[in-house]
Amino acid sequence: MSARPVVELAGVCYEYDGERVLDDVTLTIEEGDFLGIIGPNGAGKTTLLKVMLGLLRPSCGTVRLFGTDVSRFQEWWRIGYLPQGTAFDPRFPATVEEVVASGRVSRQGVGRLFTQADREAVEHVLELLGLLDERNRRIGHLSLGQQQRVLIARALVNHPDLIVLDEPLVGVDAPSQEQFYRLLHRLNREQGTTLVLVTHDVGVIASEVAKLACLNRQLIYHGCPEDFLESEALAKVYRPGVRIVSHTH
Amino acid sequence: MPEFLQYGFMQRAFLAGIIIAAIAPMIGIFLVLRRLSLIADTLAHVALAGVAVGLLVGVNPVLAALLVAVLGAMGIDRLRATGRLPGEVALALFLSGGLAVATVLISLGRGFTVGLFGYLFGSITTVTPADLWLALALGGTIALSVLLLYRELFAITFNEETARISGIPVDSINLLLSVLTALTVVIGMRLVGVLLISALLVIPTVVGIQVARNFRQALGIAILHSVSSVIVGLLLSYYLDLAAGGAIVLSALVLFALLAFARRVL
Repeated sequence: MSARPVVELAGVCYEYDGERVLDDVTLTIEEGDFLGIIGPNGAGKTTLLKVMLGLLRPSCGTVRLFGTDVSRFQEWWRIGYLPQGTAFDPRFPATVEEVVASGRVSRQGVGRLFTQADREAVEHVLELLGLLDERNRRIGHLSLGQQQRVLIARALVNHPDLIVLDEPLVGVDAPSQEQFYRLLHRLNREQGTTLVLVTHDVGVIASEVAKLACLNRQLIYHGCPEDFLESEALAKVYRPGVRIVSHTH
Repeated sequence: MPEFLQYGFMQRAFLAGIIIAAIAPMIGIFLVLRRLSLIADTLAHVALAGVAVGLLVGVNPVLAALLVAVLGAMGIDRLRATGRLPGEVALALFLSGGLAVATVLISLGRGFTVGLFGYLFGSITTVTPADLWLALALGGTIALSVLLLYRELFAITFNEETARISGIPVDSINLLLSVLTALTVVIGMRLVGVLLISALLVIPTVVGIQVARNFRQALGIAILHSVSSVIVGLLLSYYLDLAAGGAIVLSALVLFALLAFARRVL
């Protein structure tokens, strides 16, 4: 039995200021996939994620989420998203718990009250990410690594079926990175969560993900990471002669 | 009853003052954190054009201001949403445009400069019972909207993109926030005047953001600061015969400076 598609991009282009940032990208991500998306700077990785999630409208082609066209998609609680970079103002006067709880809004609907189930979901995800002791601290007072964990907790709080992470590990120290990948593997294996992760760190990603997509405005490669390291695509995108050292944990 | 509250006009001044003081930070906190505080100033100047229209054609100037400010809020929101102009440029256009329309209408009307003066600098001591009812109705609408949409507004303020991915109708709520800002500005115009209203949205909010341990507390502290400033400002204005609007805003600033000093020393 073949897995159901979670994300389907068909012939997707995106133009910005007359320049083609994405060119004819066709990519299907199936249930339970753990896909890493790599590519050089300016390859359109973040744009691809934004088109995928309906934040940007493609100039051509179609995008489907869980079988529904993205413009008609409603079940947003099935998706957890971590945007690139520092996604908030460090002076934002909210606590860890308030930020994580705000992720529940897609489960609630406008004007609905915060229920016991919401409270339990927040509690659970704080525990999962080791943030229980920080729950009442203001996010701006945390280290970068902790802030990133808060945003990841927020993305996970609805037990999403699909998690999309854009450069989640910038500014995060090595031990936290390892912990983070362990968590992703657990979600992927135990709950069948589909994961899409964009990174520039080709070395680490190749040893962590099950599938790799290489983007440079066009989709250059989509397959297993081992074959990518042997393939022509690597040299085509990155400078010839660059050798990727695969880390093993 | 204290002496200053024996007069009907002072009772109305305090009631209207407390209503606007309680409302302004509820909108201000979302504007300041999104770096949109200039929108309040802009809509105040657009509202002034409405006042001038009202005075010129003989319609209630507050209602005319309300209509024009709401239309202005929608216009600004559209310009911002299409992204054709940078946000602050769109605001600058509306701000100067509002003021220009107001001054041109004044020169056409000639006679009503005095009336307009009251809206520029506020005339809290001339609040009529009808003004008070309007402030109560608009204030209630604003407070209820913020209460019902608190989580959505929080999520959008924290990060607009993740809010969209949460399925929040971000564009509609942004438009609503602009319209609520217009309502706040129009109520506040009677109290502290067009030139100073944005101070009531911004100063207390900044205090709340600096001091609070969490978001709700930031809002609570801002409201406390704002209401205290209005009460102190009105008392100073009554006993020292000062302009009420200026006295309120100066009280807010002094309170802000004292708190900042105390935080350094303690």
